[in-house]
Amino acid sequence: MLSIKNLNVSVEDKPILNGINLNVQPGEVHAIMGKNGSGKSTLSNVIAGKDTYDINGGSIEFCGQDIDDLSPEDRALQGIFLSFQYPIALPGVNNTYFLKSALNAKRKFNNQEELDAVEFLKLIKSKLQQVGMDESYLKRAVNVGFSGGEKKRNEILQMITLDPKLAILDETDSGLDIDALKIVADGINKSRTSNNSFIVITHYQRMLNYLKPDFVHVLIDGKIVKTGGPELALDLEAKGYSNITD
Amino acid sequence: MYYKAETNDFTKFISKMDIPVLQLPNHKDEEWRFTNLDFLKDLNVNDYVNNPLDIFYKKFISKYSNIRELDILFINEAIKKYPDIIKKYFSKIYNHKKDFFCLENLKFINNGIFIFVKDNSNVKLPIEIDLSDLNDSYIFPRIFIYCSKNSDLCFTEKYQTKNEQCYTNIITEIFLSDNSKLEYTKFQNEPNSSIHFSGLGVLQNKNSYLNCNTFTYGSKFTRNNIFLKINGEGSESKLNGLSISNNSNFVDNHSIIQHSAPNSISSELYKGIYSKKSKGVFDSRVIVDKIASNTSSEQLNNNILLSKNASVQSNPILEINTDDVSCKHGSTTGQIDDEALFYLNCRGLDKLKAQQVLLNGFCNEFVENIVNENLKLELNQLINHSLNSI
Repeated sequence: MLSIKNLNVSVEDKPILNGINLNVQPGEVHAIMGKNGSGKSTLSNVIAGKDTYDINGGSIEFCGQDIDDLSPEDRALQGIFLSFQYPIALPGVNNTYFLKSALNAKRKFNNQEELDAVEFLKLIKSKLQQVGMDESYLKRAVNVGFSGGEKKRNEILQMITLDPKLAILDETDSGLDIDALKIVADGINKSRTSNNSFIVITHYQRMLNYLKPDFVHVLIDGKIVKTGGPELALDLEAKGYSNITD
Repeated sequence: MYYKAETNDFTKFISKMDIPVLQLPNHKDEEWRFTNLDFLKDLNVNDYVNNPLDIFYKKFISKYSNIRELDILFINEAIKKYPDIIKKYFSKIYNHKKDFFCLENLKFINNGIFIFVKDNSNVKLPIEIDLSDLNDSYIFPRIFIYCSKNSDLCFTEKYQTKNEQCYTNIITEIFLSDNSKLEYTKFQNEPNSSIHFSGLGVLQNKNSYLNCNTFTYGSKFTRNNIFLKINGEGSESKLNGLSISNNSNFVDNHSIIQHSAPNSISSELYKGIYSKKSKGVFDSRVIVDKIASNTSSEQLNNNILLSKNASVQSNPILEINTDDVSCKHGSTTGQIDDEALFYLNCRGLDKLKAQQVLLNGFCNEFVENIVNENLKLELNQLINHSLNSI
C-alpha cells in the first residue's frame, strides 16, 4: 500500500526527517509515536503532498506508484486521506456543500456517477450517525465555531464518507474526552477492512487501546528508532521516550 | 444638445431650492481622497440628449398599483399629495448642498418615484426598481421612500444595463418612521466600460430597523455613497456590501453613519474580491454624537486580492463624541489562505475548484444577511456568474 524508503525532508535547510523507512500493507494499522518536534506531522504532510517541504532524498510509493510528482488533490483522489491535527475553518462554506463536492470529485475520478442532493443526503445521514453528530451540523460552516472534539469528529466523518485506501490520522485523539475518543475510535474500527490501511499518529497510548495497531513505531529526531507491537506503546507510556533505544 | 427639463411642479420646486455651484471634487476633498475623478472631465454630461424616465416610472407605478399597503406615484404628484414630507425631507436626507453628484442628479431630473408605505403594512414581494432593460446612455433615477410607523418593506434596486457606455447617477432617499423595518438590496451587474454613481440617504426614527445590502460587479467606475443618520432611540442598522471586481475596474464604497440618538446599534460588513488590476476603496466613518450614549457600532472590511496588481484602500474611522459606547472596527486584506487551499486539495478538490469553494464561502457571509429567499437565490446566481468571470 505505502512504501517509504530513506525519506529525507527539510524546511529552510533545517533537516526534519532523516531517513524514514516505512512499509504499510493493506489491512494494517500502524501507530507512530514520538515527542513534539520529532517530525510526525511533517511525515503526514509530506505523504499528503504539501509543497512547503524540501524532499532531499528517498521515495514514497503508494499502491506501487511513485507519488513524488502528484499534487495533493491527485493523492487524495487516488485514496490518501489526511485527518488534520488542526482542521481548518472555512467561513461561509457549509458542510453539505463541502462534503458533497469532495465526494463527487472522488466519484468522478473513479468513473462513478456523481450523487445528487437527495442521494447524498441519504448517505451522509447514515455516516453522521456513525460519528454521533446530528443533522444540524450539515448546515454549519466547515469547522467554524466547532469545539476541538467536533472538529476531530468532522475529520472522521469526512474519512468514512470518502472511504480512502490509506488514512493518516494526525493526532486525531488530541483534545477528545473519553466519550468522543470512543466514538472516533469506533468510527475508525468500523471502517477497517482487509483492503485499507491506517497510520495513526498519537502521543497517547489510550487511543491505541481501542484501535489495536499491528505495529507501533517510535519517531525521534526524524528517524524511526524502534518498531514493535502494541506492547511498545505500553512500554512508552510507562517509561517515556528517553529509555527507548534500538 | 442640452436637455432642458420640461417645467412641472417638481422642477419649480427644485428651482426654489438653494442650489450651490460645485466643482468636480478632487483628492483634496476629504470625502474623495482615495478616488480620482479626472476621467469625468472628458465626459461632458451636459451634452447629452435626455430621455426622461417617465415611461419607465409609469410602468413601475402601474406594476405595483394593486398593492393597497403602498401609494406609489411620481414625485411631481407627491408634491401636492404629500407636501409636508417632500418639503421637510426631499434632498435633505441625502443633502445636495455639498455633493457634486447629487447636484448633477437634481440638474437633470424632472421627476422621480415616490413610494409611500402605509402604517402597519407588510410588503415583502420585494418591490423592485429594475433598470436593467433601459438602453439609455445617461440615466438619472430619483427615488424617495417613506416608510410609515410599524411598516415592514422589502425593496430592491437592480442595475444590469447592457449599454457599454452607460452613465448612471442615482439618488435614493429613505425615511424610516418609528418601528418601521426595511430590507434594502441593490444589485449592480453592468458592462466594464460603464460608470455608476449611487447615493443613498437614510434617516431612521425610533426603534426602526434597516438591513441594507449592496452588491457591485462590473463598471469601470463605481461609487456607492451611503449617508445614514440614526435619529431615533433604539434603532438598528446593518450596512453590508460585496464587491467582485476585475479588469481595471474601480469600486469605492463610501459611507457615513451618524448616531444622533441613544441606544442604537449599527454594523457594517463590507467584503471585496479584487482580481487583475482592479482597485477598491472602503472608506467609512461612524460618528457618535454627544447625545448618543450607549451606542454600539462595528465596522468590518475583509478583502481578498487575487492578483499582485489589485489593491484596496481600507479606511474605517470612528469619531466618538460621548462616553459609554461600544465601538470597534477591523480590516483585513490578503490572498486566499494557503492552508485552506491545502485542506481542500487534501479532500480531492483541484486548485481551481478549491479557490471557487473558498471564494463562494467568502461571499456567502454577505448573502446570509439577506432575508428574502428569492433575492438570495438570485444573488447567488449573480455571484457565481461574477466569480466565473474573474
